[in-house]
Amino acid sequence: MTKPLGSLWSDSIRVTARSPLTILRLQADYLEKTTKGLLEGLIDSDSNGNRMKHSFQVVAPAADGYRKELLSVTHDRQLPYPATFLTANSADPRSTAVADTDLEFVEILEAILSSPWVTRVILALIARSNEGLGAAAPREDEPPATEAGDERPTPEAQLQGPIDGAESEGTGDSGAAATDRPGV
Amino acid sequence: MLSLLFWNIAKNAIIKRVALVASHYNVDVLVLAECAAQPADVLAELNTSGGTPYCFPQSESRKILIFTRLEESSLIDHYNNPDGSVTIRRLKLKTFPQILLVAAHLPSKLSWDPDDQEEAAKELAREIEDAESARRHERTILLADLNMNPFEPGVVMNSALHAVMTRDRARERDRVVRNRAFRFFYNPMWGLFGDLTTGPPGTIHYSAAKPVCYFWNMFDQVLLRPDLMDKLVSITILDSDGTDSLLTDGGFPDKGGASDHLPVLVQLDLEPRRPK
Repeated sequence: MTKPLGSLWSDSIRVTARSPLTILRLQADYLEKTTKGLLEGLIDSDSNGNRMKHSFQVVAPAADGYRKELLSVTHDRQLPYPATFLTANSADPRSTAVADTDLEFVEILEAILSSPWVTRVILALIARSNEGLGAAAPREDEPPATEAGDERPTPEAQLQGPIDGAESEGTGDSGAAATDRPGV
Repeated sequence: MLSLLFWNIAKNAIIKRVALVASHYNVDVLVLAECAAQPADVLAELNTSGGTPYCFPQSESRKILIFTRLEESSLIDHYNNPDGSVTIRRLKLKTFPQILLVAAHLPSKLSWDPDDQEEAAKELAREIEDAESARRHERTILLADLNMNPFEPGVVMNSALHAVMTRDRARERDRVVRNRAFRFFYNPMWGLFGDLTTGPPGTIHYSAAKPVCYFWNMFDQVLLRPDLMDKLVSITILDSDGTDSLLTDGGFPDKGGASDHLPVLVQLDLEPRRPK
């Protein structure tokens, strides 16, 4: 009696796997939120032959738009893994680490972004930005944003409205009336 | 300097005049409500006059159109409400942290009574606060045809837009009502009412044989959060496209040749990101 043939694929296969670029963009957005918009993350992507390179820069608009690169990642143009890191801090133990999957990529990236060197750079840029902003700098007494803020659906998810739908009830039609009437 | 202009053009075919206004007043960010023309046609007209070309940054908003001659990537969709009457964008600047640009067109008094309008204003206020919480800052500017005057409950009420007429009051940031704090907006439009100002007495005029009639109204408004209000340089209700008047000979908005609404131009002391 032959056993029925089940799936031979690895249980490690996930439909949620993400590319380095997607993960870096997400972290750029988190940087903006964490710093209340004082700092921005910028991913500068470039291709060279069969290789793709993404460099992650921190921009401080209120410090004359100063930019500081934290790290770069290179991978094959067609396949985002393995991905090779190159950190701006050459003393970082992950300075040339290689990630074979997105989970490994996240693990290495977390270690780099939460390292003392990166934290020092971020705090220095915030301090310089606050100096430039003066009274407009964020206040200490602001309540922290709720986690709900983090979990807000992406713009894409929110944008479900009709594109060319009819005017909603009550919005009226400007061209319809010839006499004096309230605006529409 | 950053120049923003809001104009409800009442579905009139006046994109040539829109382009004249944009060019004459050096508008960086142009917000149009009730624009019946296709964005591509507006863009083509805006770019006939030369200078830094305008672009139409990607957005799901189809009722409120925003054109800019800033770096296209500096204006990013954050939220658009389901009926298209509200769009919230992140505007990235050169030497100041990014701000939230909210544009809205609330329902008309023609078919919504004051209670309905108040509810629409409360919903808009909630959408703005949600965006501020998500981005964790309150550097917000609202440009809108609210279809309400600055003194109406939907604009003044604590649970709605909560917009006050003086910067000193707005600087207190919020006000506690029944043990809950409500954020202020500063509403500079109060200073533009009536005929002792340099511009028109309001943004829209209509008369009715009813006991209460204001004739001139200020439905088109610009509101600023305290974190942004000190960047306000000027706010002007325009009565000319730079060449011809937007008013009739009688001094009212020219509904046929322009729009029943007059455009509102606001200038902020902010350095935008211009294309290289």
